Amino acid sequence: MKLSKGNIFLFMGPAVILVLAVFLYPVFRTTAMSFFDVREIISPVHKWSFVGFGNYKLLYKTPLFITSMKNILKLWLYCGAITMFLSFLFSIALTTEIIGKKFFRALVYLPNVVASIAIGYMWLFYVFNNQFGLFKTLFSFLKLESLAQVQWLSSNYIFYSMSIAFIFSNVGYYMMMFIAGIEKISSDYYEAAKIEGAGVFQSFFKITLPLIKGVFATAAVLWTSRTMGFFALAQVFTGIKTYTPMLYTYIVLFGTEFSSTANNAGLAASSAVTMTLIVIVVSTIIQTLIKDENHEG
Amino acid sequence: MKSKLVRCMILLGVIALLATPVFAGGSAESKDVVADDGSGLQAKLEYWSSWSANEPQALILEDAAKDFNKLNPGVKINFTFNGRDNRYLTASAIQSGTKVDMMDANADNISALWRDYIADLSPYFSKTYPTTNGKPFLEELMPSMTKLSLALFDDKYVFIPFVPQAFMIFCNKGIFEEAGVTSYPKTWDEFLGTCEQIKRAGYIPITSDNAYNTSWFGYYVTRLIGDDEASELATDPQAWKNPKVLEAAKAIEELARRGYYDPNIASNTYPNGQQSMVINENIAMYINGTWLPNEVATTTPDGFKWGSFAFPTVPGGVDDQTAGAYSTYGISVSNKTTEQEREAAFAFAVHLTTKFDQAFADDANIVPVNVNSTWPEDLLEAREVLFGYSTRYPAQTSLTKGANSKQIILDAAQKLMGGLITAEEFVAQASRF
Repeated sequence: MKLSKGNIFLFMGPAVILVLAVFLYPVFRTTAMSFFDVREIISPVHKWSFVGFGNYKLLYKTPLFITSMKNILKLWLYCGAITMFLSFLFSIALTTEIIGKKFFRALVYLPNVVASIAIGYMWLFYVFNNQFGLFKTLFSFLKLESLAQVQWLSSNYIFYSMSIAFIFSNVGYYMMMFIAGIEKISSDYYEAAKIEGAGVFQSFFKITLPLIKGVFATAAVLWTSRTMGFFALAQVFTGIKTYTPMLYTYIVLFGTEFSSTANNAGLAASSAVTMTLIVIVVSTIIQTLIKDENHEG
Repeated sequence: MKSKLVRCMILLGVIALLATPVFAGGSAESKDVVADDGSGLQAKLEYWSSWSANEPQALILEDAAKDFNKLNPGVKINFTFNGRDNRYLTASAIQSGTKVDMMDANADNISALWRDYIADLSPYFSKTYPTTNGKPFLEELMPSMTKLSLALFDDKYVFIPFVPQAFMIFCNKGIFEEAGVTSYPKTWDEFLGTCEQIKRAGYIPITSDNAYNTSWFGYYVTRLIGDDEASELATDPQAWKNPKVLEAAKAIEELARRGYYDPNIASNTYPNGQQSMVINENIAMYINGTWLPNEVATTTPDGFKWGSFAFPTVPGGVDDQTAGAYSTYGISVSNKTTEQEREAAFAFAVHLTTKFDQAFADDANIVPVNVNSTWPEDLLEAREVLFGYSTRYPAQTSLTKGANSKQIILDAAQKLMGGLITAEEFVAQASRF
């Protein structure tokens, strides 16, 4: 069959139409909604009342939203740094010729396969429980009394507890990305370097690192967009220090079980637009700063 | 030649793919034609419920519908069990044209979210039905729950109440007896004495967890200044400047200072509080709702005795123990239903709350709404408390009503009860919303 323009459009047609309908249209509609006072998501357009930037002004004055933004910044920065570091470490270790390479890769990736909610509750109810939890039992056994006494789920520590759970479930995903990037590097480079007399560290810093810069950029962008949608673990580890913008949007839109004080879909829309803009800006900055080196193979 | 045929087939495939959404969802709009066989009620009803399919309430609903269908073959009821999200799923569905005829939710949610979608059912309440023994249906139901509809909806009956709930102090009667507490405290001073007795007997007087941390402060402050003013605390940061709010906070701080709170209270995540209470059997009191014994039923040992009493009066307070937090779930009927559908829907709700009401008590340990039903043993004392209520606080006290403030107040209350902050710090932190 000839690959003419007509055929191309025919094959792409359904996918393109679906993308436009399911992704782009809601984005435009939500952005429009953020400038109106709207009762519910599917309120017909003639029931919207224009408020200009009113929703945004209200949003940025709400302490709960500001707190959630600060929380997500901390999550993005600290958990991001630690997750990337650990993932990279594992990827280097698991691209060498060690025994059980495939087994360890699967093991590290396993938490990523389990639903976030399940992982969250495992940490919440089992690991962090301060009467019979894993940490309490382990640290008591090791006679580390001060660590055993830590109230992991109290207001002071709950952010760190949630971060541990978050990092645990994400290391595997990014490790796989880095492994793929490292394995793409042709072994010719390493052989040539060996012949020239380069050591392990020199090979790493001069060959490996520069050639997976692009993977770092992709990982950072993915991390940003996935973190902004942080919801499941925030629901599990409820608290002010673990409140996220996604959770805020959800509560504004649907209310809590007893309140439902004047739901405002327009306000929720402005929150969604804010989150999206931040992701776009941060991703663009990351991609401009880290330029991928072109290499053959 | 071959490529032209392939192209045509692909084109048809694309058209078919794009056309399916148009044809697939159509049945929601069509009204089925039900043959009139002369047996009276005729309708095909869609019921959207706040229960999950595996909860006992859902099973009872299905049993009641099957039984109702035997007596009224012309009425078929189809259930969609959405879980608690039903409150907004139904609103969205109705707005987009889906046929939803009956729906249930907590009365406060019906008031906040469904006002525009539900019918006034007042005329049906004064009629008699096959299962009401010649009395008007209204007389079958707990008066406080039907009056709730009048209070929330300008003197109109817009829902049939079922699964009522009351919020009060639940206790382990075994511990009370061991500690020598012979009667439930009625005043705050008596309450402090009770806590002291329990503590001396080697037990933990009070616990809570992060789902209900506003309850102790919430009840105290509402007793002190009344519900109208207490509701402002959820929406207006300036309301926290009232010196009586600090007074209430100090009372709670005092409980923490005296060591009456569970040492784990600062890190108790739901359902740790209630589960510890029944598993370890060393905690005496926990503010919660009448759903509590059922929620912990699988882990409660035999011989565990549940007691309950109303929150005590507080010094200088405006309300006494006749005021309390309660609510109910209710079944509403869509205002888009035909007269026939409405009649059938109401008749089913009557059947559920008369013939099947005892099943809620027997099979699910739930408060029955019918005045003739026998309450579950675990809730007999709760019955006395609820029947003593004549002033209503919103479910779980007004402190939980503000979407922007709820988590902030919860967090601050948790720290106050854990002894981590002072009453002044609590007022400052809880009002920062």
